[in-house]
Amino acid sequence: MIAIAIVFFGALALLFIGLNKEEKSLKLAAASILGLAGISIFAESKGIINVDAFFTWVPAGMITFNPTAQVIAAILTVMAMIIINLMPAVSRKGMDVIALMMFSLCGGLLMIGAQHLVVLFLGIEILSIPLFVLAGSEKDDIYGNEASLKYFLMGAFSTAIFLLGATFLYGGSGTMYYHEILLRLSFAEHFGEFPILMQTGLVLVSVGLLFKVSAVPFHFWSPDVYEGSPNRIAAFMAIIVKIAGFAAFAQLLTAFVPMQTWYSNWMLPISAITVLAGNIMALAQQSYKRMLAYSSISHAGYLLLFLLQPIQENFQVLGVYLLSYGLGTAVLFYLFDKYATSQDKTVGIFTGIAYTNRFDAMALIVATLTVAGIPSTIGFIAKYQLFTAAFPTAMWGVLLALVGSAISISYYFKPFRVLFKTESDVQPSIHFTWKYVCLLGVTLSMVILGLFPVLLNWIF
Amino acid sequence: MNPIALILLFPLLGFALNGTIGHKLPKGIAPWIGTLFIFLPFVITLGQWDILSNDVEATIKWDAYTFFNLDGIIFKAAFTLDRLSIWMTLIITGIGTLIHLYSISYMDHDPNAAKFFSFLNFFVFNMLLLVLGANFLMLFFGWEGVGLCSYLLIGFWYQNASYGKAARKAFIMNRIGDLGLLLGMFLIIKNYGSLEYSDVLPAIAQGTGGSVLLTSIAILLFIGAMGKSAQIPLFTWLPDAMAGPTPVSALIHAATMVTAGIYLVIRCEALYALAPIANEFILWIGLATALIGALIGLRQNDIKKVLAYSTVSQLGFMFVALGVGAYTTALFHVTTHAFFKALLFLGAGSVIHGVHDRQDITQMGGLKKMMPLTYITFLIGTLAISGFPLLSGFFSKDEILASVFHHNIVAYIVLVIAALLTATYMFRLLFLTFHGEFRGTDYALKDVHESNWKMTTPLVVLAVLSILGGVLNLPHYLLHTDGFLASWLRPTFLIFENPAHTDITTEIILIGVAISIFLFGFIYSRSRYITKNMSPEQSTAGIEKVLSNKFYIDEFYQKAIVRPIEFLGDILFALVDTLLLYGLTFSVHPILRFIGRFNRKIQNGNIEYYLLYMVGAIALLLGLNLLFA
Repeated sequence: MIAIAIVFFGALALLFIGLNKEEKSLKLAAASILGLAGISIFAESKGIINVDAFFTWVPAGMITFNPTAQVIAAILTVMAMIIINLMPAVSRKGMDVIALMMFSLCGGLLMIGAQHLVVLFLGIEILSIPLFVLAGSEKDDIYGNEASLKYFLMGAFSTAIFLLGATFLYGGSGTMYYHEILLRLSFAEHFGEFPILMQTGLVLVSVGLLFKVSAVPFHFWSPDVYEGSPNRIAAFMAIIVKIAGFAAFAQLLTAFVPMQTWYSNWMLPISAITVLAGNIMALAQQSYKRMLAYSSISHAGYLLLFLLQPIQENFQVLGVYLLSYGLGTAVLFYLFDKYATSQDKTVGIFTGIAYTNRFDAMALIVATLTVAGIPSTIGFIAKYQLFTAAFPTAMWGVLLALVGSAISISYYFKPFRVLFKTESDVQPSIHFTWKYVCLLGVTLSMVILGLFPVLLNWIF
Repeated sequence: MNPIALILLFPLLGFALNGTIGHKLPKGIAPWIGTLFIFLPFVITLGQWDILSNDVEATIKWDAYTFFNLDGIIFKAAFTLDRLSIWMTLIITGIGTLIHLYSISYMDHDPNAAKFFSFLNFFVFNMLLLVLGANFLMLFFGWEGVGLCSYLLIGFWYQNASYGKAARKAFIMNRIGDLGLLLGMFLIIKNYGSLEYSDVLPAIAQGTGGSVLLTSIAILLFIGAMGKSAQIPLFTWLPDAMAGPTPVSALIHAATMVTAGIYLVIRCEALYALAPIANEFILWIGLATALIGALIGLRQNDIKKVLAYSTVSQLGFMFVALGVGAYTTALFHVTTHAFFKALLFLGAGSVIHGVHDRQDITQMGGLKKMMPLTYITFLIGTLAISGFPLLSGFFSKDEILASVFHHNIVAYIVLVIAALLTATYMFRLLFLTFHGEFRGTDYALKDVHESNWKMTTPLVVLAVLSILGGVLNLPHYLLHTDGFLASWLRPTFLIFENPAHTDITTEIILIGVAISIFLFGFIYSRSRYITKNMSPEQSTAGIEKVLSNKFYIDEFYQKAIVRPIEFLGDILFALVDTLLLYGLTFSVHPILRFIGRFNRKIQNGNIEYYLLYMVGAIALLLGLNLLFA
């Protein structure tokens, strides 16, 4: 996994080079490092390069990326690149924020590749600890400080629970390797009963991960923390943590396939309540950012539906959904950040941008259609595939998710009501910058992948 | 590059160019782009003729793209250029080129000429998609596409509200027919598992599928054809479609789009050959349309409306031919009709242009001196459609009459009456427009002018074609073998078409009838409008009033269909919208407010509470699992 090394050493280098520099001046360098890492993972997944020889010192089988996990890891890295590229830099000197984001990304990559509970735990911690700091990176902002502290306390709590669960799993199976757990469970299945330690352990470990992906009722931190954190960090949490969390969760559940009927029993209610609560709460929000927080909760609900089925090694469907969610959410966060003021955080901020900045308006429309899952965007393909895959095991969950999707239209489309509204003659004001290239790429990819889903087969 | 790709590419390119940058180009460029990009496919198509004529089995295929694969049913964009589709393609691009050329001058003063040409090119593209498609899916794409273009072009002068309404009417009536076409396609998918002609039609020809199934599919597809080809009861849109610019009427509503229904039936020849009930249905619908169209045409005073009803009636003739199984004859009439009806429409356009955008023949008369070329070509068109011996219309109509004669004598008599009326109303139109005294009151005869070469060249070319078109399929009694078109098309038919060869006596009688039909129409109209010098009837009483009011069919539809639907709409609005949906929506609001308040209480920002909820949830999960373990 050369990408982890690239990101880690790149971040270190940036940290030192950028000691006395404006963040803005090194943003492109950071993006290039992430791009390079993304390309390297992608090339590995396609078998173009092979760097396993450099990593013989890693204990065998603790970190293994199967092809799908590799693609998701590439998506994760590219998402980090997009976020760093799109969202504005802080004005003070020092590269600490971007370096911390990259360290956190290393944790995310580790989570996706983990085949061992301890590695998973390490990944979660490496992902989370920088985020605790990042949430409060605007040191003068009292809400940021509050968010940081809240996230830290609750994160510590969930970590403790995860660790307890991991201990139980070790106690029940005598191993921490996924594949050995799977072996033990297959034996247990043969005798018709699973050890109670394993059941308790899986519940607790799942709670730790459900907390990370903010499923109801472990979601309470997310609206508060998103709202308090700087927009860039909120986007990072909404996208990177969710992608890494779900990929790791799916990877973990491959070890528990024999217990699938059992765990789907109690995970179905959780996913159903997540879908419903996420969507209904989002409907009631005034702040667009809080709405995005709840919308990300509802997406967690849809994604959980997919986890209810017995998970095989290839979970492309999950990857496609995470890609579509990541692209759409990144653009929405960017636009929110661009137009929000300290007084106004409602959808009113988008009033008339169809006239002042057609380009942003177009991006807003495409991204909204994507997260809402409307045809002609990748969002539809992703949602369609996800629901189709989840239908056999979770019929009622999928039906409920369809209702949830219908509700989601009414809050996602709120900006459309004001997009074309304008009081007086407004002059278009577009100053083309590097950002627009990135935004154009993201927007186009949502449409192109939606129109030609064949391309997805090539990516995965 | 595949020739089919090129044929399709140019009109699409013309559409894209004119649609995007056309209005920014120097004046006069856009129309020529449009014309050139129709002419090029014509040349390319002609280039393929040899390949097809050298080998009876040859077809040119192009598998462009697979849309998706649904449980083994493959939906793809596949095209085929066979003997039938090359014939249609030549008509579409050939006559299309002439009409584009004509439009350059006709739309000269219109500020939106680039838009007009872009729509016109897009129409040709869709029409080519329709005839070149190798499956029902592509046919349907083209079918909808030409419908859309027809809508856009009828309503081209959308500032006039009634033109917009005419466009909407055309679109909606076509949609009714499309529903039939769609249902037919669904039945095909369900029973044959494919939409490819090459899968479905041979299967049908080999006897797969019961007679009920075949009849249902045949009738459903025909309902689609009824909408597009303006057959009773879905024909009232076509006369209203005359709101569009005259070249549009010539190209779309006379020569090409309205014959799509006939193309569909010919394409599915294997299906219709095995569905006799459906054939009988088509025959009588066609007969009724031919008769009613001709009757209404007798008492219309708008130059384009007369031609529109004439088109309705002539399309009825074609369906009669299809109903008796004479597919070649139908295509022959499609071809000759494309020649002379396009000629007549363009001539009418020239007249309208010459008299400064007036269409009312009560305001015309005596125009032949001022517009000699238009007059002569219009006369040729009239002679051709009325069946003057040895002109194109004579041969094609005679063939239809002969086939019907062998099939059903009652139908033959009805058709003879319709043909008689055709000659009558056409000469009435000719005499009232070009002969006699000038009757205009709001403008002077000296203002009338002949059109320029861009408009008259197509007229002359089409006039020559109208005269000579008959050679394409000369009858058996002249050649003692099959006509050219009949032997050309034979390989494309899956079930052998057995043409009715008659003995020479019957043939002479039939020809005699045909000639006397023409003579009667000519003499009757001449005695009325030339000798007695009658002016156009302002029909106020009796049957004439019924005719000039088009049998009150529009009014009938309004009362019998539109009103009840509107009434139902009102009821549904009151019940579903107001009561149910509004009620639901407004009752959601308090629920949301309640949830919001509840949420505010639990999401209160206190981390102690959050942790408590989490612990509670974990306890619940573990407890339930241990209880039910």
